Amino acid sequence: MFSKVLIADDLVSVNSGVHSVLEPLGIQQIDRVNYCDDAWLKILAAAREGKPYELLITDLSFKTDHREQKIKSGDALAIELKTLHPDLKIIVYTIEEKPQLVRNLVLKHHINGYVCKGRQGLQQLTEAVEDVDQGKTYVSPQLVSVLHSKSMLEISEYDIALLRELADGYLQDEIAVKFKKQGVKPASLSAIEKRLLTLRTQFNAKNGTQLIAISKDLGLI
Amino acid sequence: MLNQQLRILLICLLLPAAAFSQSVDSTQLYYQYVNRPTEPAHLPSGYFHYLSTAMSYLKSGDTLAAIDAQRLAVIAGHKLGTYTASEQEAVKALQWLDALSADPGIKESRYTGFFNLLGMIYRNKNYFDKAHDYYNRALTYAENKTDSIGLLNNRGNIYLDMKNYQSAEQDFRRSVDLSRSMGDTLRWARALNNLGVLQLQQKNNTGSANIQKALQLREHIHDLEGMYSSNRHLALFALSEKDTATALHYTTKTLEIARRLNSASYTLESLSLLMNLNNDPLVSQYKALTDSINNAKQEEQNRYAALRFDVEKEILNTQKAELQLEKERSQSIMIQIIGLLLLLLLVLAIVLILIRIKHIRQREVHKTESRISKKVHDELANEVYQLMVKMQVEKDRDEEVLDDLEQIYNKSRDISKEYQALDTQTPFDEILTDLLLSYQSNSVNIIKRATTSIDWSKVSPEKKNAIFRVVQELMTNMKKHSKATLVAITLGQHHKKITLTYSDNGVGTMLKKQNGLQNAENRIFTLNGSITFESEPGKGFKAKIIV
Repeated sequence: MFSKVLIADDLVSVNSGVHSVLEPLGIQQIDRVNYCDDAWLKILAAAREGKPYELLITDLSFKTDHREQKIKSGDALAIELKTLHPDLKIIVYTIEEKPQLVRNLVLKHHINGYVCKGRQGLQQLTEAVEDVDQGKTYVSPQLVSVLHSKSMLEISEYDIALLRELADGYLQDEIAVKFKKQGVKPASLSAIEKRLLTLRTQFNAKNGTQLIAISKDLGLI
Repeated sequence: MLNQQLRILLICLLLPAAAFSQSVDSTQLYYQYVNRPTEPAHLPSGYFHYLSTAMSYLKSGDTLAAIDAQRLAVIAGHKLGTYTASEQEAVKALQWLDALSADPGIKESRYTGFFNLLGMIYRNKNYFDKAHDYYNRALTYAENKTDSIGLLNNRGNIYLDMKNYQSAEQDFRRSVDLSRSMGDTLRWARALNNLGVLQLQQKNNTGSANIQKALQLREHIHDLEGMYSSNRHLALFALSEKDTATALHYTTKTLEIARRLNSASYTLESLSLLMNLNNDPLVSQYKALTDSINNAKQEEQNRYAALRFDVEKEILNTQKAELQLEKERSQSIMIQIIGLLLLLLLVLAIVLILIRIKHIRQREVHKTESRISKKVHDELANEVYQLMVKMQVEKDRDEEVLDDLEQIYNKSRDISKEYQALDTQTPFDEILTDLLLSYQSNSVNIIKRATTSIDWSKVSPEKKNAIFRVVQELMTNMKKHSKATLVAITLGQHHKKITLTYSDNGVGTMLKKQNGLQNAENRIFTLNGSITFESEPGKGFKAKIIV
């Protein structure tokens, strides 16, 4: 388990809530800051002394107040620290659920955890700390789909062509021959079968006939 | 320097003319100047007087008067020997005449006059064919016999110039016949005289008889100038025939008539003829000298007239140029004023439009604010209050309170999400996909299809925002009311317009517009787009947006 952790959150109550979750995990040193700049300085100083922080848990939005900040948001802090100290593990704990933000931080900048504040927030944070400690990446369950299922949504012109041929009464092997002639790829029967199966799942259709009926109803063909 | 001198000279010359032009019968005076000039300055004065008169008539719209004035100017110009300028002025007058809508009789007499004048001008310019042509045309228009007689005479002279003696004789004879039949002795005598001169030229001695006949006629009507001319021709003929006695007889007669006419030039001419009959070498010498001096004097006079003509023309041109300049100046001032007015109008219009846009924006802001306020009141404040009441009544029910709190928390987060500004960093397609994904669940499948690839970077932020909000609104409605399990969103681009179709397999509705959809509609209309809904209970819900 981590031995030295820093929590950055401008809300003191949240900050102490996180603290209370971490203590039972047996972490020796838990420090708290309320400003991004403070977090930045503390982490850099600790690294210079040879006693670096192993984990940063940070919020994304910090309220602006009388103190002028160089680093104004948690995502900026996380990204800068990641490039400077790739070994430092970072978990974002936030109210933000913007999919593109999650993707950007997790996929592009390799932030180790993304936890949503909410009813299950603190519990998820415990899981996140444990997962990250074991070298895994943790993302709140309600956001997992954001990282993966994007391609499930879109259907291509190939799919439309396939559905049209079916609606015109052609059998799958006839479509394969037709596609081959027209240079449409993929044209193999197995690829067509596979694709139609995927479409049926996507459209919640029990069979090909229902698939065409649904496509027509939705005005896709 | 020279120019200045000319101007001074001109001012001196013009002063008397200017004084005359003030008097009541200046018109008659100029008429005299043109038709019976006695001073070298008269013709140019008349010429320019009638040119400017014609111009002012033209301006005031009295074209016929302008044409008549122009005719007098051309007569003066012709007499001055400024054939090219006269020709131009005559052609100008003919154009006015062509455009004039008036009684044909009135027009025809003017045509005859100008064609005759052009004939005379071309004759002097030695364009005999052209002159002949114009006389012919004049003759076709000539209405009365008096005009015809004169024209026939003129045409006869042209034939003479063209050495077509036969035709010339024919014209003169016709002129003779016409005037005789009309009893116009004056013209009859003139025609006879012309015929006689022609015949004599062709060594046809009947000419002498014709001239004598003309002389008799002229004596009968006391046409002194005519008598002088006939006597002179007879004298010249006798002289050419070496018949000194007859020549002396006629010459003495010319001298007598010249004295009666009280004309110095005629007297001088007669005396000069008489001297030709005298063989005295001293007299011959004297005659030769006076002739050359007279010629020189005449040339001087001509030059003076020409100079005066040129200077006046210069002045006229200057005046014209000044007039033109003045006109242009006033025109440009007009254009400037109009331009300024247009500019002012434009500015005013822009200001009004800007004010209107500002009003619309303010109204939109107010609407949005009141919408948010209503939402906060209805969805958050009410629930917080209910929770407070619940906590006062029922104690020790942490779990339930926590559930309620979570609901309130989620609602407040949704409101925040709904009014959040659109992220401009992320590609719009991704934003849209994420929006759709957030409605994807175990019970609802969403299908997105793009018929064409859309370059979102070229679509205005307003449009993107509107599309986003509309889709958000449609999806929220779907989640709340439709019970749909499948939603298809199709995106396409046609020229600059984005088309978006939404369809679901839900329960459908009676198409009573909910508040949210009304907002969506307004957003699209503001961008000159269109939105159509299509739904029936049990048949799903469809929407098509073009923006």
